[in-house]
Amino acid sequence: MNPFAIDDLPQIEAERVVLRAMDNSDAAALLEVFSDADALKYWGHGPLADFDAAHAYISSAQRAYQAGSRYQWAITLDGKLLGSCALSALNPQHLSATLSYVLATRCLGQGYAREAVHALVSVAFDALDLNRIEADTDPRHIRSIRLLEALGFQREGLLRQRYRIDGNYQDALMFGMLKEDWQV
Amino acid sequence: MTLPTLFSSRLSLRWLHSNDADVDAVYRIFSNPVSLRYWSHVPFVERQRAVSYIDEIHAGFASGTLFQWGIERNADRALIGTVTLVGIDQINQRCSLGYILDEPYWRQGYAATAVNLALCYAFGELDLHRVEADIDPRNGASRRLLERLGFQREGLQRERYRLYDEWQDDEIYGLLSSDPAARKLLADP
Repeated sequence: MNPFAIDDLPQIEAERVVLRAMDNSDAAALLEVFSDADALKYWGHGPLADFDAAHAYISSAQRAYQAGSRYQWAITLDGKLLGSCALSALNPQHLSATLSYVLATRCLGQGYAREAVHALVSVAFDALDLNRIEADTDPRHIRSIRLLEALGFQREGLLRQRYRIDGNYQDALMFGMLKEDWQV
Repeated sequence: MTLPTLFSSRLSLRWLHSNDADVDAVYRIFSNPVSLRYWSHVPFVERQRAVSYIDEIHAGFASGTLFQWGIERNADRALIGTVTLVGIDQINQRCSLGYILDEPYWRQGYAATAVNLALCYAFGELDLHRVEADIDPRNGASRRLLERLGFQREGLQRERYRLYDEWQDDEIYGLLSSDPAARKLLADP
């Protein structure tokens, strides 16, 4: 039995943004974020094609948290989705997970991502009792690197040419944070 | 469909069968706490676990993500270990490498020979661009093998695994098909 399997994803309230489960009413906003080439420049998959794809994505997120493999939240402001963040590869033996986040380009620069990820990391170490969170970014993704380092993530390696995107090999900058690094 | 057999003068990499001889050998290898000290799981304690392990290896091959060969010594046909390409990812053209050798066969160069065969296959037949390997930093023999093969140390992930009631760090190595060592290997296997 996977201890991370749950029926309902907990809602997480930060100062301005609220993290909550995605539902079908988010499809249009999700499609906007996930068809934004700038927002997805360093994301792990390409844009969503249409509404059907957005609905399928929302369903897959619901199945994933019921299975305990991935918790994915909508980052919302006044109820409206402006991005998403997730803990994936949740591992009950090693007490670890992988962090990811994406925000609509038009919402950047206001600290929403940092606020959301800070709240998420706090839940990961305290409520979920994880020992380690890891994240990897493209080394050119300065905004994301700044966010991770501001929260206390440490650089743990540079994996050469780990991804092939549009025919080009891209490096992966690996970050990790341990519970003992996390001093609120 | 089974794995292709790969040959060198001393060793062959071959398909692991579900027969008694292979189950016995897999159980012998994977129940030895010395060989398993830095492996990703604890030693098997029941022979039946070797049966299900071989089933998992076959299922992984059927799904296209796992190639795990038995290492057979040509001289006496003894099954002395396994070598693994796992997480085969055709989109990103990469996989991870694993290897284990039964303790009596250590320090005779068998691991290097077996890994060389698997690397030639990964960069050649599978046309992969990157092979990565991760080791426990305390595993000096494994590190020396990777460094001799031309792998570059790319990172250290802290407390990544919990096994034997201890946190284990994870040292990451990578070899690209464009690295000089890989090019040399492919030119002169």
